[in-house]
Parts: sequence; structure tokens; C-alpha cells
Amino acid sequence: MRQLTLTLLLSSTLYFAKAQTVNPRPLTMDEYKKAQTFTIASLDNDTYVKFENAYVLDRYESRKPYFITGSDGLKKRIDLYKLVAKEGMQEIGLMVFYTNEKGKLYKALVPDFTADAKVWEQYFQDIDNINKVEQNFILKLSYVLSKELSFQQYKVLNGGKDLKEEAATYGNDICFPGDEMVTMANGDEKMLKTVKSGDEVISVDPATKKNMVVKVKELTTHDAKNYAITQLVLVSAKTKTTGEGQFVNLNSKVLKATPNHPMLTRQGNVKIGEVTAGQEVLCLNEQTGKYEAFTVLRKTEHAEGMQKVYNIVADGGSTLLMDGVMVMQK
Amino acid sequence: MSTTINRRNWLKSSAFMAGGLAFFSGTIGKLAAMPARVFKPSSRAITDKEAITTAGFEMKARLLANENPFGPSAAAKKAIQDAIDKSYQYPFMTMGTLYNKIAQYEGINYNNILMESGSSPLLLAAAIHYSKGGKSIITGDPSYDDLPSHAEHLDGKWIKVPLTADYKLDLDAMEAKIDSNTGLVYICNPNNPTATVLDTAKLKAFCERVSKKITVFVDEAYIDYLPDPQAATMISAVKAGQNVIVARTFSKLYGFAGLRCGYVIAQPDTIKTLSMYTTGFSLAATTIAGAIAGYREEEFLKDALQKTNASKEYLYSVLKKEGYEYIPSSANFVMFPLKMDGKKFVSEMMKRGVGVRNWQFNGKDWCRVSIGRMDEMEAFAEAFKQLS
Repeated sequence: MRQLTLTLLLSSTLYFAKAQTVNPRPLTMDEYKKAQTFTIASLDNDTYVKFENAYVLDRYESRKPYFITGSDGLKKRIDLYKLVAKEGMQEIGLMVFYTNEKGKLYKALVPDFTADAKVWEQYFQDIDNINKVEQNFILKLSYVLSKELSFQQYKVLNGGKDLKEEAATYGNDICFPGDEMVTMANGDEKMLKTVKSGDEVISVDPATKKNMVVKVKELTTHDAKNYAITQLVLVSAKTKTTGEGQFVNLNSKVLKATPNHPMLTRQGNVKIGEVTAGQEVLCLNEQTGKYEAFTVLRKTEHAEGMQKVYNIVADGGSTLLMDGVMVMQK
Repeated sequence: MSTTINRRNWLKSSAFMAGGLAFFSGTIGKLAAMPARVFKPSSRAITDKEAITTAGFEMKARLLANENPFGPSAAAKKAIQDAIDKSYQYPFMTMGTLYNKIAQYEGINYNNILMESGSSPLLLAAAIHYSKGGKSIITGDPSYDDLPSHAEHLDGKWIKVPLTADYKLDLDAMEAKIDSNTGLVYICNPNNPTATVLDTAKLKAFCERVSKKITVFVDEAYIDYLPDPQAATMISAVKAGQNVIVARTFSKLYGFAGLRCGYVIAQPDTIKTLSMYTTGFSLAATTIAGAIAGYREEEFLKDALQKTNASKEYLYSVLKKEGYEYIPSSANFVMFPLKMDGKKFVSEMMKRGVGVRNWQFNGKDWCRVSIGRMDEMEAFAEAFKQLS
């Protein structure tokens, strides 16, 4: 999960950093550390604050804050400020002020694109540390950054494959890594690799969005190989904009499968490897118990190393629920 | 002499100026003004009015409309108050007194003058007339855009000529743009928003040369801020019989911005032409009384100018201290290049209670600061240091 969330954030922050001022000078490590000490007295009112007569925190695009409520019902506030070096008025970073429901403030400084790798490493270490104590911090941060970029930019950025160093194995198998949670007939969840013949699982009728119970005939297991795995991050974001800010109810899901596995989107059955950011997939909203469209926020494809992959052969239905996401059985 | 008496020619007649004829009810006919074409407000950059009305914050320093916070003079204020008692009367006699006073000071005839409620109606009149048939208005850029923007909206064309390297109107380039479709050349001197002033001899030569081909409109709204306004004015060109219109206003050094009193000086035929586009009777009795009392009140003008210059020098020192350059000013405002987005700067200053304006030209963002009271300038300095 750590690798997932870090990878998720990497592309948005890298792209975001790159989208800043043309050829800005790099943010130095000293500046990175110094900026952590910068505070904004009033996030509601202060939009341009100087520090040491050398740096400015300038409210990003004069944007009102984001108020994001996750599936846990907890509301977080995110404010964005550009870090500007007064000399040459260069934008050298993006400061994120993240306030949780208890009023606890976390800060993260996204370095500019030209910053040294060590600065970036420090940044990722810092946000990972925050993520350990503030659940889904990175995911919400990533959502906000990606929102500012627009889905079109994401499509351009992520249209290609993101392969690891080692070559991945591609084939005709339509399988899952095995640690996905399958929705069982009684509403419980069970890890895919532990599903057994005879178990009863939920299948969803795509047309009526009604559940039906089907019986597992067989858990298909494929030999361990370095399979290519496509990963989707899907979000359902209900947004309301007021004078106070942007209020977002954010639900997120992550699904992995071999690239050939089919999914049902608004455009019809599409192999998961061919799904693109912005497309919609039917998912279960645990809060409401209803199925609704989630939007693909990000798609990556990479090898995860030697592992077995699994799939369910059922005695009926056409779909399964994997990690709350509707997928075609075959 | 017209045989029909109406308000317009009653105001203009010798009898009116002499004040010898009694006023008869029933002898005033309907105004015979030529109907002006209907026009809609121009869609252009934000104006001073819009900047003020959309501020959204309480302003402790109102430095965005080039007003004079040191006026009107005490004598003018008293005259205004006293005029209330007779404000049930039409101010025919006092209007004549004001015309006569201006004419005597400038050494011209009363029929060289047309007064209105501020120079705005006169700029509009010129815009309507000189843009007829799609004619073009030649101006500097940036410069005061009231006249040309209205002309443009009335199907006239607006030819913008960039300023010189030292931000003055480029007279040579403007003259080179004159062609058979030119309706008017508009000169704002000192120029708004750069507050730069032209070389007087060069401008006089320009007026003499160009006015033989086309009408030259010289807007001298800020001329009273010059060390020697009488030497710099182009009224001498009118006296010499040239086809020049000179616009003046009480809005600036006199401090009458809210009282609305302006006038143009031009050849009698031109005055007659422009008067067809104006009411000719828009000044309030109180305004006229104040203008009579305040006109050429040298002690007040000197004091107001001195205070303005003191505030301006303070502003210069603040800008220098913060590492900013500025354009040396010959008016009651100063323009300087910004180091951040202009709209952002204005917004941040307004949040701090200081109203200023921004422009964008020559690839830069600029700020124009009107000169206010010293406490207003100090408020500017305090806010500016938080942003610079």
C-alpha cells in the first residue's frame, strides 16, 4: 500500500512541479527545511505572506480551500500556496496545509521539478510519515493535486504504460494477484486467494444493479510468473462549491488485475489494460449500499514480481465484486 | 442673432452676458439640441468607478481615482453652502459670471468656452462627432481611454500608438498615423496613467502643424500640477486661431471631482458644433457658486499643490526603499512596474485597505498610485512593504 500511494502521488506531484514557472531554479534542501517552519496565521484570510523578506507564500490561484470528506465521514481541509523566492519571483514549490477534523495541521512542500533528488526523497519520506498517522493523507493530497491538473492532463501523462525495470509477462490470462477482497453472499469479504469451491459470492446484474448470489465452481490458479499488473485508482467525488471553499465527498477504490481482464465501462466491455483515466466503472458505495459510477483517476501498469494469479469460475452471473469494484467474470 | 429665444442661445447671447434683460416665462422654448445617438457602455478595462464600487473592503487609503483630498477650498465650500438658499432659481446669472471669469483669465471670448458637468460629457460629445462615418481617433497607448473607447463603440476606429521609451506620448508616430480616415487626434497631457508631460515647444509645433489637417483635442485635466501651467497650456493655440480643442476640469487640483465641473476651449464654430451634443445646462447652482469662488484661488491652489508634492515625494522614497523604480510624475499620481501579477497586487492591497489601480503594457504589470493625504500614503507604505 505504501508503494501504491507513493507511486500514485509521484506522477501528480512531478507533473505539477513541472507545470510551474518555466525553468525555475531548484528548491534547495535548506529551503525545503526552512519552509516547513513557515506558518500562515489565518488560512481563511491570508493570501500573500512574506518570510524573511526572501520568500512568499502566495495563495495558489486564489483558490478557496478543499474540504474533503472520505468514506469514513471525516472532513479534511486542504489549502494550497505557491512558495515563491522573491529574487526573480520564482515559484520553487507548492506548500500544502492539510488540516484534519481535529484541527491538527500537517504541512507538505511539493518541490519544483528541478529540485535535487534528495529533496524529493525527503518530500516522499515526509508525506509517508504523515500518512502513517493521518490515514489516506497521500490519497487526498493526490486527489487535490490531480484535480488541479484536470483529467485531460492526466490522460496525456498516463496514457502510456509505466513499466518497471524488469520486463513483465503478458499473456491471455484474465486474473488477479489474489489479495483482492471478494464480496461474499452474506456481505462479508474474503481474500480472493482464500476463496474455495462451493463458496457463495455476490454477482451484480449490470443492467439492474441488483445483487445475485452465485456459487464458486473453481478458484483458478496460475503459476507464479512476473505478470504485468494493471492498477486502477477510482474515485467518486461529489463536489459542492460555496463561497467558503470546495466541499468534496470523496470515496476511493483500488483494483489490480492482469491487463486482459475485462471490465464494464460506459463505453462497454474494456480490458482493464485499455481503460483510461476519466472513464467510469460501476462500484459499490459502502456508505449507501448502492452501486454508482466511479471515475478512473489513475491507471498504471507494472510488474510486481514473481507471483501467482487467481480468478473465480462461478456457476452464474457475469460479474464479480473485487475490492468493491464490478469486474466481468471473463 | 437668432430671433428665437431658447435656453441655449439665451445663455450664449450678449444680452445674457450683459445681464440686462429680464427673464420672461413662456419665452424659453424647447431645447433644440441635435439628438445624440444611443450608445451602450463600452466594454473595456475596469474603470476607476468599477474599481471603487467593487472593492469589497473598507478603504483607509483611496488612491485609485486621481482625486484631490485637499480640496475643495474653504471659500468654495462656503460659497456652495451659501448657494443653497437661492438654489430654487436657475443659475443663469452665475453661469455667465463663471464663463466671464474663465474667459478673462485665459484672455479669450466667452464663445470660445463650453461648460458641462465635468469633462466626461464633453469627451463624449467629441467622440460622437469626430467618429461619425467610422472615422478614427488616434491616441497614445496607454492613455486616458474615455473618448476613444466611446468612439469605438459608436463604430469609430481607435488607433493606438505606443508611448516612447520614456513613457511619453509619441507625437511623431501619432502624426504619422494620420490619414484620410482620421477624425481626431487625442492628446492627454500630462498623460494618464503615466503622468508624463510633453515638451511644450514640441507640442505647440505639433498642434500648429497637425491642426491644419485634422482637429487636435488636448486634454489638460492635470495641467494645474505643472510648475507653470500657463506656459504649458495649448490654449495659446486656440488664441492663434488653430483647430485645437483644449479640455480642462475642476476635478483635479480644485478638488471638485464630486461636484462635476469641466469645460473645453476651442474655436467658436467648434464650440457650436460640440454644443449640439450636450445639454449646455447641466451645472448645478451650487457647483457654479463653488467654481466662481474657487477659480484661480491662488493661495489654495499653491497649498494643495505643495501638499500633493509632499505626498508624492514620500511615495517616491517608499518605492526607492523597497527597491522599485517609478516613472517621474508631473501629475497627482505615480506609475511604477510591479514584480508580481497586477490583479493579484491590487487585490492584496485592497485587502489591506488600500485602493490602487493596475495596468499591463510593455510586457509588464504596472501599478498607478493616486496621491492622497500623508496618512493615506503611510497606509500605502505599510501595505506595500508586506507585498514587496
